[in-house]
Amino acid sequence: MKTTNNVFRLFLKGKAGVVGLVILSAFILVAVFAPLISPYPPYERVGTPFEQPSIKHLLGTNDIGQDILSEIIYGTRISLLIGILSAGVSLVIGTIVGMTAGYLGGKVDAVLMRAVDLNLVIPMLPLMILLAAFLGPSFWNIVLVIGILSWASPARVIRSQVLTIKNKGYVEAVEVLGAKPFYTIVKHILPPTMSIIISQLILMSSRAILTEASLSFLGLGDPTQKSWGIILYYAQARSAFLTDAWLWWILPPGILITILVISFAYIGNTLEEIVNPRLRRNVGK
Amino acid sequence: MSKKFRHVVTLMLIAALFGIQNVGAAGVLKIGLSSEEGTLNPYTYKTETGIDLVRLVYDPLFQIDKDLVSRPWLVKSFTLTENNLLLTMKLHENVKWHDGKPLTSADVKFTYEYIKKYPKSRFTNPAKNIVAVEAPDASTVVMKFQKYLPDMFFRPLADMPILPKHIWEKIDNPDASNVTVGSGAFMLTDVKPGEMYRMKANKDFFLGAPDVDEIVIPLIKDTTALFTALKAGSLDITTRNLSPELIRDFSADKRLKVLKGSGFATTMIYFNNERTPFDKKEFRQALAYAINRKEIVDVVILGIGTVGSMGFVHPDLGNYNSKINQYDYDLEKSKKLLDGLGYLDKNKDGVRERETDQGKALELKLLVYANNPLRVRAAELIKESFAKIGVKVAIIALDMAVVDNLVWPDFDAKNGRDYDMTMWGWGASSMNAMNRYVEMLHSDFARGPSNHGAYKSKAADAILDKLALEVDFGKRDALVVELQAVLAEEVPFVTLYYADQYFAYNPKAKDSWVYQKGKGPVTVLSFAKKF
Repeated sequence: MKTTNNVFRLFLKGKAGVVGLVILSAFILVAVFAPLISPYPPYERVGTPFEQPSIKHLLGTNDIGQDILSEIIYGTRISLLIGILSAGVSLVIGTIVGMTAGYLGGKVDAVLMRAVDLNLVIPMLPLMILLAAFLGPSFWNIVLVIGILSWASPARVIRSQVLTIKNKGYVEAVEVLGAKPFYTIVKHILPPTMSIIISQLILMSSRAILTEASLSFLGLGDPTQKSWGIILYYAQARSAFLTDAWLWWILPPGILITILVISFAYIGNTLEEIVNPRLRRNVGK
Repeated sequence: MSKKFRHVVTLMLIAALFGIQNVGAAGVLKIGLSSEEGTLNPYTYKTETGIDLVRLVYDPLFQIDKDLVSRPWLVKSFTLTENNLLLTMKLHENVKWHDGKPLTSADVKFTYEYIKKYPKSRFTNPAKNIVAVEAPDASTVVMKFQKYLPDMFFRPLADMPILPKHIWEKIDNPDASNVTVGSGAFMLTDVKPGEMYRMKANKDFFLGAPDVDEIVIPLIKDTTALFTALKAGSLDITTRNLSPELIRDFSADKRLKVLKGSGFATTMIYFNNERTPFDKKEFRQALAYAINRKEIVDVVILGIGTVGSMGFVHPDLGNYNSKINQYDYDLEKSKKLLDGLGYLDKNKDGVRERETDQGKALELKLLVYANNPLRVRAAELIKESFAKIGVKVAIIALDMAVVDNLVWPDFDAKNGRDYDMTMWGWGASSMNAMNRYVEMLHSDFARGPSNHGAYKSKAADAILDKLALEVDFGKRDALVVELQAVLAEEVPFVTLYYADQYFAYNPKAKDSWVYQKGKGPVTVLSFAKKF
């Protein structure tokens, strides 16, 4: 079993992981200090509508004269938050399913894994679009939709980790001593699975951010929020693609989404290579 | 749900629809359509745009001209006798169906009997007033009315397209019909619902052969894709007007020309008049003073429109009342009214409250369609200015169907309502239509099914009762003028603006367009030289 220290040392060896970590930290700093960094409050109309970039408004203004740069800076908060929250929801479900299936085995395992298979073969984005349209546009609905539809792949990874741990001597010993399954899982199986859960959380976050942006862009997000996807939605709805405005209204949030997603993916992949039992041989000795 | 689903599918198909390609041949006009219209006959079209296209193929007895006056169309001359209850019409004699058979009075008689047998509410309801239709000879139609209603020259007479008897007499399920034979300026040659329509010019059209040989009408629901196609030259005109932010760009384009006209479609904020605190007229007045309608026009639609009148009626109309109180933006007046109602901000948190409500903060919910960015933006501006008078607003953006269900369940006001305020809008056809005014404002929901703000006013009811029966056009206008004064005093809703409409077109494909007031150029009026 690896200690956290060990994981961290291996992580630093992978360059991609470090790059990802640096970028992500930058985004988190921007999100936390948004009020200090952003030139204007994002909801205040500080210019005339559809202004081109200028010294006053580095990325111009949107359709009602709000500063686009400030919108994007504040948007970091919402996009990160939605990403991490929905990844959290999917991980909670994924962990419960993976743990139960892996630990109990037998029929329970078979049923749960078939559910996972089913979940994995369904094309997710169209299903999410449908569900989001059905539930209606709001911050929490987006979190919910992404969360409840993307638990399958973490469930599978966590299950395989549980399977390896379950057969370790100390777990069998506890069982022989009469420990209840719940106690065994929480006390002895969950802790060594934690690192893999975190790596999955990070990977899922990157997917969730992308999904949020897609759903919001399609008009299925809450149009009164300021996430990057919603910024793109307004840009599209107010014809930025047909004028020059795409240069400063669509490209910047688009590029930022890409960078953020990539940084999450770098971190997540590097972590996964270290902690995932199936990928582990690729790293280290 | 099915609407949502269709929307979703459309979004996914945008890429595919982008590729509607040049059909190319000379004399072909390509019109971009943004709403689906079934098999495009009088029973299967879906929207107001659809019926405009239906009129390219079918002819009504009368037609509403570009100044919104109802004038004879298939009818050559008419007389109105027996206390205005007997309408005798002579039809044009050279009118032929697209299959070559002559259009006669028998077809007219058949049509008006058919719509009573197979209801389509738009046509059937106004036709209920017709007691009998006789066809004494091939070109004469005699219609007997129950009572003389001023609107009958609009609906049904200028609305119901005449159907060919020899074809429709075999159809007993018109809602699923796909017959295309009409008598109008164009013959439908290709119908692919959800995809495209193709029409060929009717050289024998009784008002003269149209000036284009063929019309191709691809369906492109996504606005960006629609206007990209127009700019790229794949379309010659669109049924949808240009978004305000595009007007500068399209006007500068040398290949395109731009038509401008006033639009009669409204953007409004509705109050739930039966819910506290909106049940007090002074409260609604206070809110009206706090809405900066001029700023909304300047910011949301970039000044391309007319500031809404407190009497609903567009200032371009002859019966507009210019003397009513327009509630020019005045926060002090607004605050004074709220103070007078006992709403004070005693705890100094920026939001007013009232002792009788146990000091509950004055917080109102404002519903808006999530898929209508212009209305969301207008709502954001209203929220901003209401904050200045100490009224807190929570904007709730919901799916269209959900909003409709809260505001106007099953599109009938008698089913109740559950909302504080909502962003709303009525289409161009609600402007200056007396029967619509009754439907929108009458406190008896049986007569006012569209009164979803639950506006109850004896003064308005009295005017509407007269308006519904008034025959004299001058007297009707006087009643509408009076009605506006009542609306301005009682503020059941606030009309924010009427957006102007701009249409860009390619003059090489067709340069002679007729702009129908409040509607636009893509109507049969643009193809009927002799009307």
